[in-house]
Amino acid sequence: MSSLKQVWPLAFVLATASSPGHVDAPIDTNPEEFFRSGSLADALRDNPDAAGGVESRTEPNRIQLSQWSNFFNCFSGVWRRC
Amino acid sequence: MWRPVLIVLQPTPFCNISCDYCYLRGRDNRSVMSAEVLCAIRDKVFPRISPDAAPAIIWHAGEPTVVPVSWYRQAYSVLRQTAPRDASFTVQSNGIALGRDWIPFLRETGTQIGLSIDGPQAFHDSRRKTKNGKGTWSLVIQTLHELHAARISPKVVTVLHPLSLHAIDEYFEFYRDNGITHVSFSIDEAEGCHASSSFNGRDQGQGVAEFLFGLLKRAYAEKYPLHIKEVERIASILAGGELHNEQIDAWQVLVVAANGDVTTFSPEFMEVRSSAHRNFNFGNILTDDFDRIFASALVARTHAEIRKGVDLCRARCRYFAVCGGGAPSNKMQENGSLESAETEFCRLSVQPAAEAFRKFVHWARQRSDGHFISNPRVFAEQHA
Repeated sequence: MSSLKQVWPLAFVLATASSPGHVDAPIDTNPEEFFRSGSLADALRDNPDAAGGVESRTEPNRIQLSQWSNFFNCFSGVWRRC
Repeated sequence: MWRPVLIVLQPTPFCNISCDYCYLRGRDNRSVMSAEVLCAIRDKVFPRISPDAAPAIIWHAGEPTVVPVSWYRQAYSVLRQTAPRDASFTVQSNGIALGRDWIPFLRETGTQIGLSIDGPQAFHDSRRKTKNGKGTWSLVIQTLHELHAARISPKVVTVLHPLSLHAIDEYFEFYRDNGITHVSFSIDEAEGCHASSSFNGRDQGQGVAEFLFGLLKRAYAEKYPLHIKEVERIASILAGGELHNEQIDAWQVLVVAANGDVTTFSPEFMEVRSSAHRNFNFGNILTDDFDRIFASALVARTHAEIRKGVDLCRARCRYFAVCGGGAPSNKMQENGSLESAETEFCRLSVQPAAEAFRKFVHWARQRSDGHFISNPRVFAEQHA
């Protein structure tokens, strides 16, 4: 199965962004704060101090969102069972 | 112009298996969508869609693969005459009778496929059965492996049972060992002709959340890219993506039944009975003018009722920002009114997914080791 295309889940990316190595990321898991639209938007913001800096300043969250969107388009969850 | 998100086309109501929780009333009806209905979709529906729209067109609401590939080839030749260029086609199947001629068809037409697999064999076979009562797991797994051999990766729908919630490791290992990376979970809801859910009377929201949280932890620890659709949706909204509940606005979703009947809002409305809403049958594309269907008083009234229900959700629910107002079909079926808020679907699907993700982020934050990449930007870009 290793030949199958592997794209990492956005949930993992955000979890990684919340790690102790990224304490600047404003993650609050208090439910009242957490469940706001965009509450994690800053978690993927460029961190100049992060290891393995990247020259390109593309938008990683947009990349990941498009991946989710592709998933949605090919398999919508609103029709939930068969 | 019109930009629908989802178009469900029912090639046939018939299904070749008999799942314990099936809610489709017409699953013994062997009728097939006629050439006249296909032409009506081509001539009355697709020309109204904005050319730059990208609707997901899904063959579903019965078992699509009981209709021969030759029918689909003819259907595509008709529909693609006016379908938006960026429309995608998907078949949602139980996978038990996917003949070898389907694989070249899927490749040639770019049609994607979703399979319904309820996890490990014992769980699947206990409820997804042939009409003779035998399990279907071996058949669908054979199909899965044939698709993988052809480098086609189906997305998987899994319906959970309360007993599933205690088998996190078995489920994770099933997905991992069978190369399944995209999965969507649901519960057997009381809907259509399925009168009661196996979750009825049980407060299982916490259990579902723990199940999803457990899967996320194992996948993360093993670096297995398991996408749980309900969690990914919430993650995308919290990361700044747009909240979009396509079920609360008219004609974001369009369902065309095999006989040409039309509904919108929730796809499951096709199976919901309400005399006040004419069973959510908003017209028929063979006999009614589509402009009149589109702008009918019944659609407008239904929309207004749904909006009042959404307002209640907004006022009452902590999860509104990641949900957008729930599923109208569940509100109707469970609460008897569109002007209502929380349902079992909320308690057992949306809310647990949100809580699982919150717990997962909190858990990841406490960990001091095991991160498989240090910079999320690199992480995102390397795997894009």
